[in-house]
Amino acid sequence: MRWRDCVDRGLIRADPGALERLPGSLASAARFLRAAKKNVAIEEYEMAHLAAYNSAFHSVRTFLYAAGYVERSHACLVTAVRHTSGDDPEVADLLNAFDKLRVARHNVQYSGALVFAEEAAFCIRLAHRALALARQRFG
Amino acid sequence: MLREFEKFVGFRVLAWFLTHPTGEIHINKLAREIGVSPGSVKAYADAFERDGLLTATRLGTARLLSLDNDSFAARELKRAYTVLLLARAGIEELAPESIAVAVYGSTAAGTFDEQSDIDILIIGDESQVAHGRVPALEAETGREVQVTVVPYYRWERMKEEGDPFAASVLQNHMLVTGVRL
Repeated sequence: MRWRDCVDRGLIRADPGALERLPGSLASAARFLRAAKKNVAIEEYEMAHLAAYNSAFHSVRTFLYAAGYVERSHACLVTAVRHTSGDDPEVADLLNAFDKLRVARHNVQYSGALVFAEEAAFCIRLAHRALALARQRFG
Repeated sequence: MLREFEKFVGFRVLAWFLTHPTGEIHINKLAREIGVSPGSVKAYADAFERDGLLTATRLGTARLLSLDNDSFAARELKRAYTVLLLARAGIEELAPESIAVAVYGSTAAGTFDEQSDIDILIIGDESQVAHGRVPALEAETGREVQVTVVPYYRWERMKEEGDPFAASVLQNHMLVTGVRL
């Protein structure tokens, strides 16, 4: 979805209190990442996938909060962070990977797609990367 | 849209060259192939030659026309025409549930010829690919289609590791559906 569509449909909106939500989002990202690792340890790869996605989602959302916006759509989160981050290559690379995880997570959650160890390991690495970048910028 | 374009004689003349990038043909023969009068073919061929899209060579008294593959405009038109053919043949339905579908290689670069494959990358799972749609793509374009399926987590790893295939696709591709590569 395009930035203008996201804004016009109220899926992204400016919020003066957005920045205050940032620490909570970082804490959620860390909590979900721990849960993802625990699920890998017991070979619950679908649950690990979902938790890793949630972690990455909260990390990516800190970039939106930092720009003064809140979201009501995961797809628009990607669009909005792309829009507000400009040419930042680290953020752009992270978003490209996160956007794929977003679609994959949808298939796991709603279509019953199975997850194997290799994919779960990737998701956790991506969630780590997202949290590390968010902490580096805002932690 | 393509159907509307095809009503125009000039487009039909140009389309022959765009789908036969290395072909050389005489005006009368081209007129017979596309069912247009030689006079119309000549008028459009002259115009396209003036625009630098076609080149003419003499073989005895015959004037043979071919696409100027060195012309950037010809390259872009080849690419655009192939996109329209692929769209008409339903490329967007090849793997609609996948994460991304992209065309790469010589088709994306506009440097292909009649023998070149159409290379399609699908980021997703094999189970998401409607392989039964491939023959329609091949029939519409007259070229062989090669489909490569890569799960997103492997694709991302390939990117991170600087895999040459991933690097070349990232540098030159046309995104058909889905998220950015």
